[in-house]
Amino acid sequence: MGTKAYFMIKMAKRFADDSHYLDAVRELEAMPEVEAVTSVSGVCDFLVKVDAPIRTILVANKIRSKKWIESLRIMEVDTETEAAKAPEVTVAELLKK
Amino acid sequence: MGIKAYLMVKTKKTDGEDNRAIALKDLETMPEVEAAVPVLGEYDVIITVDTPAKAGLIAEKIESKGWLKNLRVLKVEPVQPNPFLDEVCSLPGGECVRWCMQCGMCSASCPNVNQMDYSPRKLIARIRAGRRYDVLSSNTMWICASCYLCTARCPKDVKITELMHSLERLSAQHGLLNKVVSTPAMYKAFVDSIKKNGRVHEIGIMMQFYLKTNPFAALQMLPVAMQLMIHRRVGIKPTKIKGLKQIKAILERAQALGGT
Repeated sequence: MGTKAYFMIKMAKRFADDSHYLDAVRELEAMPEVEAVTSVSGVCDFLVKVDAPIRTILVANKIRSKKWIESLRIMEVDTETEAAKAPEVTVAELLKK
Repeated sequence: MGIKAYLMVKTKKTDGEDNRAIALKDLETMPEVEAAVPVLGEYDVIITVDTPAKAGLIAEKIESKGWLKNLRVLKVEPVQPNPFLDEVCSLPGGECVRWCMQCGMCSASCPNVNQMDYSPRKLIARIRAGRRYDVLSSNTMWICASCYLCTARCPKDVKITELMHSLERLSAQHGLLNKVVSTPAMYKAFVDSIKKNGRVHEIGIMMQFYLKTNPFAALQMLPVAMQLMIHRRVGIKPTKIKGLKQIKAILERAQALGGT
């Protein structure tokens, strides 16, 4: 079973300077499981999109092992709801055309 | 246009029933919403918006909905880009670097991998990490035999052989040629021979190559050269082709287009 999820990552304050921040982005981008890394401002510092053929918890543990992580919150994509949504979108698009 | 903001939505639960389906239907009708992804966890829906102005507009609209429990806006902050990755992605074959999922099929297929500083998989990982010096000064691309086994077996259609050739050119342009490998000297000798004669002059190429790399190694090859000359497989004198000017024009054009 694969993983499709969004991780909300907060960086530890002592690592929150520019060079560490960029290193963190590069570290995440270099991970094969990570599809996209977006640096954001708000309740977290990074929103990471993960798409991998392994379990979510394994990817999360891999990211959690990094020393600059303060907190990581997982939001798994609800693939069932998304799949149910897909045909309606196609019909709507066809009607538009 | 790229994504400029994310809106994290938590829906209310009325009579134990989930309002997420209603929220998703509502969000679909909003023209400002780029995409709404249903998720499981702290939030129920993640909305992507392509302009920050729209994020505020949608936030206001959503706040008026009855199904909303909690809404958070995450504004996307630009980070310093990875210039090396961008540079590689602009090269022929380089655009595929972003597609690689690091399965290692290329490294497992490569017949020369044990001679390389970094396997093809590791090289791509280093490109994505922005390690310009590591990548361009490695011998990986020079060791590549262009057998296309990696390209044929790649599940994501990454054109690794083309990428290797592009990296060779980039390495030469940046003056970061690997000191150990002699492939660049061989390429130079080959192109010089073509420029001069319009075709390969084997003895000339090998003399130029060994003089630049290891003249003593030429002595070992001398018996082979003698045998080839006795059997008239190679000539001592170079022969020129008729349309030499055209060949030169092609090479000059290739150089003008970024060849080294």
